[in-house]
Amino acid sequence: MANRVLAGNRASGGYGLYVSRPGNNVLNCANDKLMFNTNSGESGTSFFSAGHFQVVPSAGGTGGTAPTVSSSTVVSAGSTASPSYQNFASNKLMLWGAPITGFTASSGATAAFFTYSSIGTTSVTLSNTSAASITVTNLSFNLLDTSALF
Amino acid sequence: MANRILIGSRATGGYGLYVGKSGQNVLTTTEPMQFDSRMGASAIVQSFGQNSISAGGTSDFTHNLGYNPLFAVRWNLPSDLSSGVAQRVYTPVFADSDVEEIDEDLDETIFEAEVGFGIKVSHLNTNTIRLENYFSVDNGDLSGETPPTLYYAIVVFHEADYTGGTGL
Repeated sequence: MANRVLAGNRASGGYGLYVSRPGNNVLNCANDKLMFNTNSGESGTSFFSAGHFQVVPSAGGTGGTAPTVSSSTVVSAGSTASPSYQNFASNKLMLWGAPITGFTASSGATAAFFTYSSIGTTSVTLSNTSAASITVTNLSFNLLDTSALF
Repeated sequence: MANRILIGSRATGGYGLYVGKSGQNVLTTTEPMQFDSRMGASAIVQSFGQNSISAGGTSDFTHNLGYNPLFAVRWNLPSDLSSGVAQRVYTPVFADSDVEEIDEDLDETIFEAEVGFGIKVSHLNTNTIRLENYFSVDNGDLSGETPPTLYYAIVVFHEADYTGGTGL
């Protein structure tokens, strides 16, 4: 079996934590054969590992409490709500919401419009800008780079 | 060099595996970390691909995971391509519409059409994700129009689908 996990000094990349894909030697495989590695400040087109795209839990994740991946919020038409999440990434978050109720013939194209604003360390303002009550599934991701979507 | 990796008890967060970003002290940083075992889920890529779908057609992406995985799909129209590379893409969305224009004075229909729009993505089964070109023009006064071929890219993650089938 190939060496899969390295915590230490790698010839290419230096000190860090590395995990290779199955069948690849973590000590000397190409970067694209790594499934996890600590970034070393790469930039430009060779950029490889900015970090994992992780979901900030809406609750739990500490002590013996399992993390809750998402939350569900019911917002009346024209109203706001304040879905919350754990303070694991300060306010460096990307909010992603999905309406449970999609477009319907009777409610028209304004059925599920909403926005997130005032992103705080533990909660955000969710505004329903549509003409009907909606239920939104909220997900929060740790932002990998403030200058990019992800 | 900053402390980058902590396996153990962190002053903020308790026991776990923590990896800070380059230049940041994993013990004290308040910035989002590269890896944080308190998080609810991680998006680790299982497979990815791209393809085109002719009007009214479907394309099946087989991942063979045996469960419904998290996925991300982006699609575009032929007019969005430049040298084979999409200049803009869209999240999955689809809709049906029936259009009818009536002359009230004559009380007769002067224009009608049924039009489909977008791309429909769903878990066909626990091993396959189906993508359907939803563009269509059926009957009516737009029957001479040709629905477009769609182009898409898909990334499948190891994580189970926590979006309820909508994808990222």
